[in-house]
Amino acid sequence: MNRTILVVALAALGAASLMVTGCAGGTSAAEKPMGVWGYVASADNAKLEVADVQTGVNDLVVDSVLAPGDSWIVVHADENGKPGKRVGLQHVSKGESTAVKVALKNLTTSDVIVAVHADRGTPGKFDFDMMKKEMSPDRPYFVGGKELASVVAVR
Amino acid sequence: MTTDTTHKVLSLSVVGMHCGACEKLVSMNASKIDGVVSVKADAQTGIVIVEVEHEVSTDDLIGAVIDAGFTPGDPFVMEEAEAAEGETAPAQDALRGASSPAEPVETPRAPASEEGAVSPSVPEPVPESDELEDTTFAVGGMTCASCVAVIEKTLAKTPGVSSSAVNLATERLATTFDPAIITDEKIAQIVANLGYTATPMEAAAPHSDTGKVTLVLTGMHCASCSGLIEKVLGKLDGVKSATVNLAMETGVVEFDPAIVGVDEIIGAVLGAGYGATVKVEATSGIGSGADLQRESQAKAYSAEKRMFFFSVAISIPLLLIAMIPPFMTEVPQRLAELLAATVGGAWAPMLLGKYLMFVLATVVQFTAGRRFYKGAWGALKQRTGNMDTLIAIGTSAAYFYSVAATFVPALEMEPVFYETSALLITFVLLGKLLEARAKGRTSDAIKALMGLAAKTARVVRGGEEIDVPVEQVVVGDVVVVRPGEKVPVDGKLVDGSSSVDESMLTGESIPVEKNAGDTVIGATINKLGSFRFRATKVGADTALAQIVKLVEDAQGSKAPVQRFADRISAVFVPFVISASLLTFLFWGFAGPAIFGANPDPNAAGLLFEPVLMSAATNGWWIAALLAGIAVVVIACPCALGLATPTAIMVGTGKGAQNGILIKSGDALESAYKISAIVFDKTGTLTHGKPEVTDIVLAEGHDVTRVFTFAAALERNSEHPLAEAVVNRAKSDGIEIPEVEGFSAIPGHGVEGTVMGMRVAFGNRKLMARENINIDAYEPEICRLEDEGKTVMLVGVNGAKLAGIVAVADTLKENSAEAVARLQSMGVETYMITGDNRRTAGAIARQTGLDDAHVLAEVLPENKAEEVAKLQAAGKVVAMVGDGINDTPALAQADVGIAMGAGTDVAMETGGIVLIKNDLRDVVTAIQLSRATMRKIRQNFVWALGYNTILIPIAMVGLLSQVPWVAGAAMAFSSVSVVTSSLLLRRFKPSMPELAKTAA
Repeated sequence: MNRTILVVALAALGAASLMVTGCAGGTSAAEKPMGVWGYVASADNAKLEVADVQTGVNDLVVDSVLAPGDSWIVVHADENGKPGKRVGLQHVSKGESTAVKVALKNLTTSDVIVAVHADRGTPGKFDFDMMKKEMSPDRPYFVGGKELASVVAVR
Repeated sequence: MTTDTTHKVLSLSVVGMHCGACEKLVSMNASKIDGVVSVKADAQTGIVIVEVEHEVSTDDLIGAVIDAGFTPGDPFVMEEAEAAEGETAPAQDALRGASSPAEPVETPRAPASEEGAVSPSVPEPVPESDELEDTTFAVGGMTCASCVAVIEKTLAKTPGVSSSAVNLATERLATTFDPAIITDEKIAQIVANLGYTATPMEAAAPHSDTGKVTLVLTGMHCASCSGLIEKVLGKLDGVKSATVNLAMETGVVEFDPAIVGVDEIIGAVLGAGYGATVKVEATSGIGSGADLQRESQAKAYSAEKRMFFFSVAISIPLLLIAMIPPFMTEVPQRLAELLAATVGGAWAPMLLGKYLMFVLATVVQFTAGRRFYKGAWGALKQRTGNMDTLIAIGTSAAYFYSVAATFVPALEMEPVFYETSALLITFVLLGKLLEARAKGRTSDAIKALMGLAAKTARVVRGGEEIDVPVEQVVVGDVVVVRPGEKVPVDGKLVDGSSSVDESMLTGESIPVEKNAGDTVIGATINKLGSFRFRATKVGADTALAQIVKLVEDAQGSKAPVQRFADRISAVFVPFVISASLLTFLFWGFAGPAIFGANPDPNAAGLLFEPVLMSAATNGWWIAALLAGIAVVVIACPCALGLATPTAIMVGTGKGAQNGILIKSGDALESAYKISAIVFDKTGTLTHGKPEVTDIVLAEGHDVTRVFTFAAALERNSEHPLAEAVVNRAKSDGIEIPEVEGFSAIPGHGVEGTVMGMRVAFGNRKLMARENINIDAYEPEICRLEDEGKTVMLVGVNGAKLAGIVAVADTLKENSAEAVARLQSMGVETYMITGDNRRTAGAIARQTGLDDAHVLAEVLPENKAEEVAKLQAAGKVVAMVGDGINDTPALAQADVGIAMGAGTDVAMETGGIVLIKNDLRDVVTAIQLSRATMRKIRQNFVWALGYNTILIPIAMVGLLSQVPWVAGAAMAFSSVSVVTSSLLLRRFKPSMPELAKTAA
């Protein structure tokens, strides 16, 4: 019995070791597969409600945002479905905020992506670098495995 | 100290003494020097106390020690003190004991007395009493040679401890200490303080020829009853003392087992109207201490196994979370979702993953890895390092760096290596587990020997035969043995006869006939007959227990070659830590300078690809840290520490299985270097008993007639030559008639009237005196004499020679074969004897020895000198002998080989004892020694080669991406060394095979 357990344990350890050796080529934090790289929140604690068509406005209005902590409403230019340069930023406090206006600047695309990011770096300073996004402290919230964000048509 | 001094007392250090015979040799030699007043040598401490007059020079004393065959220590004169007559000098106290046990005793660090009795330039020896005690401890928790050094060094500095030797393979510590200064409990405590466990096994019990039994008495009511029983027992012949304890209802009886037995003692008590049974006591028989050790080792093994499985159970999930997709993303994410749903807020999966790994790794680090911290702390307290130090440093570096990267906000985004620390610990535990299993098998031989002991015995008590556990058999018991049963203890046959298979102890496959008066040995198997014998040796005194103890002691002893490993171990850990630091600093500083801050992994070939890849993904300092960790972990001092003792264990065990008792690692090691062997003649090469070898008949006479005459005249003589003649007559079935008018003529022979005829039996002079002409037989007589035989002539009626009887000590069957084999192995063979050159030459020719190698007419006291002469010629000499007269030569030789049938003192002095008395075992012993030393060298090559190859591999950063592989490699290293030693179990003696081939 003991021998069987020992053999099984050794086999498991050996198999795991082999798998790891196979994977050992480049597994650092920076290279780990991208899954949820922001902050995970539940739908009860994090919500974003925004009208998806607000054409011609200079100040985008977010109808309601429920933030699990102090946060940022971040507006990115929509570059083929991916967030591009930042065109708007507004700080919101923990809890629910309604009718939050976000001024849009340097807008070049017809659509924008509105997302909610945590304010976990220096308070009041947006600490987010698109090039090192998963290592930046003010990363976005994720609910149900998806980023808490909406696409809004503004032009 | 008074100023009226007349003598000096010197405390001398002498290396190589190991028994009473050695002490005597040194004492005898030193006493011969003019001016030496008294000498007292102690083999255990290696100290010789000499009281001398002032004019005796140190050179003379050194000469005496060298002449005795020993080596003067360095420094030779350890202490010198003036001694007034009638006073005890401090140096003498070292052996005599400075104070009574109740008095406080000065430690060796105490300052010298003001009078300057002790030279301040030499260390003061610990004052010891005469009664030094030996205790063996089972030691747990040792991992490598450094652990051995830590314990030995600490005990060497402990007041009262004369010597200590730790064997890593047997996990035993043998100590000799002065009970007046320190106790075994205190020694165990000191070892425990170092981070190891120490359980005292058995202390050497004093042996006694007196039987002693404790009886449980019933039916006593008052002091008169106890007095009565004492009186009754006191009247029994052979009872030396009887003490009855009324309160405890026991009686302790000391008696002479040769005169009275336990059965008679119990019978006497029963006869007085009381009840009596033998009290069951835990006797210190075979392996009571060893059982204790095995039990504790089994417990430790189970605990280690549990810890390993626990470690595996935690390391595998840790590994999955750390490195295996999709676990590395899914598990933290699910956990974050769970927390968000239950606790609220928002959770970063990456950090949660770190926390999770922190929890798992912390459990492994401080539960499974606790032993490494404990061991490392023990070593640190002694300002040394061991394997635990290396593992503790390596795993701590990975673990604490990861803790910082988890909880220090500035490092929060840095990668962690929790899996490295946990997997390292798991792999090292696995290695230790496999090593323990393999080590257990190295003592299989001793376990097999112990398994030979009988469990029960049928003894006669109160006139009835009852089965009792063998532990309850006491000296004097009459034991009944039926066909097919094991003889439970040693004893002497009193009734019946049988043949007994003694092969398990002697290797001799032919059963030995036993009749009344013969001795039987415990653990041998009775074949067909039944017999009763009186127990003479029980428990720890039986031959089997003594053999087991001898082999255990040998397995526990340290071979000189071990010093090589000890020397390396002393510098190994500091070297490895330095190499690790160097690796870390080199890659940290030089890495970016040579390969750039963001290196291309493929830029410098395969050798540097791992470290460059690690630097590219994690940065240079982390790559440097991982390379440093790999260096410190991959180094394996364990393999070095196990190389010698495991091979010695298997070698000595294999020897015991073949009837060769190798008494120390020293003897086993020396045997492989033997270049010359000196055989004692009588009793070693020959049977040691004269036999009739030739009969020459005169015309008209026959053998029966000649032996009738000769045996009749010699029947009452105890001379060995006479015994040979009478034995021959008896074996031929000749009826020996009475003699009339017998007379012995000194220097001539004997004469008398046999069957009405006047017969003379003796030498030429007797024949001349009887006017018997032997001229016609002279050539024949000279031929026999040239063959080294003693020629005796039988003359009848003062007129005619009836025949010639030649008697000689004959060669043992296997002597010539053994000598031939030794010569073919390149070993020079010599014979030494006190006999005349002609007799010696005859035996030498039969044995195949070169005439030039016959050392004849050597007085017993000069045998050691002859051995020393060969040693002086640069030869490594083994002496094979059996008698007391061989003892100095056995002690003088590099290896003393004693015959098992020889005297006790010879066996005590010899480093190797041949139980079967078969000289072919000399060949086997040398072959076994050579095989063992070859194995030790292989182990060293493996252990050193492993470290020499893998440390540089780790230093160049080849393991930077998988530093825990270093742990697995290290585990493999020590397991492979033990497994290599186990291969020695395949050793087979070549001589019996040769014999079969010849047949």
